[in-house]
Amino acid sequence: MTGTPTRRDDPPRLLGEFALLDDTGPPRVGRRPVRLAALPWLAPALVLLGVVVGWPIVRTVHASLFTADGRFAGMAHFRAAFDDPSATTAVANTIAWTLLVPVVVNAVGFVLAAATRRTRSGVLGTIVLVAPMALPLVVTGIAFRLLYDPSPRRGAATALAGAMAAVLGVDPATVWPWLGPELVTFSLMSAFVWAWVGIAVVVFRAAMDAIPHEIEDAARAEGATSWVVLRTVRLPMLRRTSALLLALIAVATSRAFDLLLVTAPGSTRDNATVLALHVWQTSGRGDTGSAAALAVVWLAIVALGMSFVVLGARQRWPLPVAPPGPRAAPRRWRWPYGRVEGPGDGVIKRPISRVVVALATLVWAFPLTLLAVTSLHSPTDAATEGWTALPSVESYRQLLTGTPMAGALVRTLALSLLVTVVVAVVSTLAAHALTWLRPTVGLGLLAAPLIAAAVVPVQVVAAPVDEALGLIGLSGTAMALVVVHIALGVPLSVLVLRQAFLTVPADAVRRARLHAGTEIEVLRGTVAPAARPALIAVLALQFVQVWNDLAVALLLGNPAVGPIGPVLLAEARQFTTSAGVLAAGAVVASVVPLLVVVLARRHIIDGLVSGVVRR
Amino acid sequence: MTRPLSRRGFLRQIGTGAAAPLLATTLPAAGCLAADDTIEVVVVWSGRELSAFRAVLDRFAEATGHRERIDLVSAGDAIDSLLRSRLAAGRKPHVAVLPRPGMVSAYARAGWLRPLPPDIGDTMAPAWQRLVTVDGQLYGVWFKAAHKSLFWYRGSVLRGHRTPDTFDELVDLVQGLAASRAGGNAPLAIGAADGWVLTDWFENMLLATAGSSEYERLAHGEGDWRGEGVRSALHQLARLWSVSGALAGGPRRAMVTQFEDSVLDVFVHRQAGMVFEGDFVATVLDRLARAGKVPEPPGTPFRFPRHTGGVKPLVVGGDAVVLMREHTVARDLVRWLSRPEAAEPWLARGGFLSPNQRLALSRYRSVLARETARALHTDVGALHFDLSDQVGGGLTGGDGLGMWRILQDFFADVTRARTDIPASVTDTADRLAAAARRG
Repeated sequence: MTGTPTRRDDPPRLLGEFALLDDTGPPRVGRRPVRLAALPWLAPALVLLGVVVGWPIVRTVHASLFTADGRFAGMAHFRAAFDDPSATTAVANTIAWTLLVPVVVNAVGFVLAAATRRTRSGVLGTIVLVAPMALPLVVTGIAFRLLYDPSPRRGAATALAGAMAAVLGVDPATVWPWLGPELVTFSLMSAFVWAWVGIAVVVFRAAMDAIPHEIEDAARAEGATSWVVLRTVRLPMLRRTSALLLALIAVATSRAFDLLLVTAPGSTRDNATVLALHVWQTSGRGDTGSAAALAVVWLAIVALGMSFVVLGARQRWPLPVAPPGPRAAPRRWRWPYGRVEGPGDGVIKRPISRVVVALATLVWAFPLTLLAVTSLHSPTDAATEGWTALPSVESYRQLLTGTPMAGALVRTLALSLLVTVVVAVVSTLAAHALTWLRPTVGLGLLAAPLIAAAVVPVQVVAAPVDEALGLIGLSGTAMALVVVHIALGVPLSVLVLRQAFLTVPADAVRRARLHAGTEIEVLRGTVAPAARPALIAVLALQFVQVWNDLAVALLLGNPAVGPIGPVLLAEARQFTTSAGVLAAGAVVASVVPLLVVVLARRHIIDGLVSGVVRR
Repeated sequence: MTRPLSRRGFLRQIGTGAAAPLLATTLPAAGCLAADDTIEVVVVWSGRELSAFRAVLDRFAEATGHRERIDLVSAGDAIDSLLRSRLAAGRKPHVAVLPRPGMVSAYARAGWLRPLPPDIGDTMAPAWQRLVTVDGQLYGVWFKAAHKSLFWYRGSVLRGHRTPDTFDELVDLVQGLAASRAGGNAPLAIGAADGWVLTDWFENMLLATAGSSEYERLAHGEGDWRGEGVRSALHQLARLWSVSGALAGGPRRAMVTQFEDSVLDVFVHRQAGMVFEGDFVATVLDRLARAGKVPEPPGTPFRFPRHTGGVKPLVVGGDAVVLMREHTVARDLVRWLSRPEAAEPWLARGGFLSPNQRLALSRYRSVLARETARALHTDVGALHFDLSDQVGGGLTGGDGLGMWRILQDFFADVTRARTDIPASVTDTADRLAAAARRG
């Protein structure tokens, strides 16, 4: 060991998600023995979560077991739900998404993280890999719909498949189309992997940097091969990280909903359907009981998955101790073929890594390029010519004059800003109370609902939430979107902020309490400034989350208040002839979140990886 | 506000009051109560159609001198859920344009619509009036129509062929073209990725084989989906669709091809000779032609052929204007939209077909549009409204849903497997019947 840790060091943590589950405890000393005093601080968060997450879940479970007039229905709703053959398809596909996609993202992310660490071109590669994370999933859907277009003139992937068929002497009419019934789920998954690999790369790189290189060096000194080092040192040390990553991505796969709506043609939507879509469609045709039953099945799958992850996240190795000093040591030029000695991060350069990174960069850049090029064709050229057309700004002109996009951009900006500010305030208060005031309720009791609220898919709660909003006359209004976005954003923000507040030295808080009169001044003057980077991460992530939303707006809003997500979806009804305008819309919709993510990248990565942002 | 608030109204005020000042500037229609001098109109249209309708409203203001502001809300496919949530929230628009007669009758029965004076309906043919009359009371005015029984083709493809008069002749024509594959072309392009394309095929075929009384029985939920009428229609469709080499790019591609792509396949990429669909094919073509993408103008479209001994089917769609909230100007607007001159701004832009019997055919700008409109005028006794827009419950169409989904499976079955058509027909009729039973 090269140094002694000066304070409690944390393993890499994703958004602080499980921080509460294995809470090693905040510094107990600074806590004021207040009980009920914590309640006002927690109240806004508790009310929001209660109305938008808690009550709807109760209501859904109730609706799945009782008839509309209150009689016990037993399993009748469940049987009725599964009478529809699409329900079985939806369950099977949902399970495939939750199991398969996270594993693929993890594996690809691991390989690319290892490869980008080893090459000088790693920076460009990382940017290209990470950029898709910032985009709305609707935009990803548009890019991949272009890529997989059934006409070989426009769809590059279809042209490639056709060329391969020609080489092999197969009749192109017998080749499965990418968006046909057989391959549509695979194609949608590929789009999702494209969008989420960036997060895995960033997390794995940080986790690899945190592995003390002494252990690897020791193993190598004993004559261990790279493979043995990987198997016996690296993978076990990354086990916890990858379990959390698996969970994060598994939860995120409920967003396959967005991709499904944009990318899958109507004829194969049913082949690709997932519970997110099926629950919505079922409740949309007024079949509340069946929809609730399906939602309960889904909740059960989510709960089961989460408990497996929590078990898997236990790490047998001692937690790695982060090296002292600046987090990212400046990388020096190294002899490309030798082992690295001395303090550093154990980087070895290999030509094969360069090839991998170069290939990945090309593959990842392609859909974005396709989008940009298509947006610069006139709508008729984009529909008919594909790549060869002359550039034109006609698609952008039509986007801003012929569609509701311009208004939607303004509405989306207002919505995102308002939600972001409120979420930051509400979750700062709650996180402070959870860290420095002793709430009446035990931490463990609060942790479970917070994590539950962070993973419950919006499709499950949408119908009861709409019902509740209808009672106060807010159903379908912009205010409805504001309220729901705030409630859905609070849990993760609280978890991340609490993790950051824990790092504020207890002595500082105690001193502040002696000088300041009120607790709010302690928060404003001492705790919040110390956690500023985490706050920035929360603000940025929350803003991007609302900006990129489709599901909340579609399920709970209406076209008159429509943010950009539903506007783009509506334009995609006849995809080909709208491709130019859609691509232009996708580019316009991506600029703001990309900018936010680029500007706040350091904080976001720190916030993502550790939840403990060191200054 | 002087009048007493109901409990719900009170809660609403609290709900919106808190953040209303913040939102009012940036989020219009956020729930801010509409002022008395604003008329709200919710429509199904978007894009070009929306701007054309805006021109219609401008003309209304000009002609009548009304100074009230008219807010136009584009609801698209979601119009039903939008209106229902508005009703639940107590914020009815004044006027709405509904795409299905089923919506008009459901809303009228629920008491959400204001009755209209009977003389407003005089400009429409009785067949149209009946669709928006509930319990002897008129509730809507048809403003825009669609003619959904047309075959569009490139002239050069059918040169030397007679346009088919009966369905058998159409099958022969497709078989002949498929066998010769002139210039590597397939005879047909079908955008089967859009379920409504297939329901339009089915409706025409059903009308041709089973006749109008069976069609209407099915439309009103009284017919037998497993009966001879439906089965024979499915069988005839399968006979045509399963012709080897009939489809551009093969059946697998047809399944993932959308309607507008199928138009491109015929007129731009010239991979197919004919495409079946409504008068709105002309709108797509017009846009492409202006960009110089249509090398060969389309031949005069021919009607969906008759079946042995029957008449040629005429399936129509349309958008009906209804009055939801009482207001003098709103009432004037509905009356205005029933008059022939209201259509003028949209006619000038093209892509408009009127169900109005008083609108002179000479007002249509193109020969094609005039001919299509003539059919609606002269064949008015034979016209039937789109079946899939009238059925409900488990048959309600949508991407991956109801009748759309069932017919897409049928299409995939008979075009790809091509083995056992009778079994596919039976299976599909069973599924339709089961879906019809579900609610």
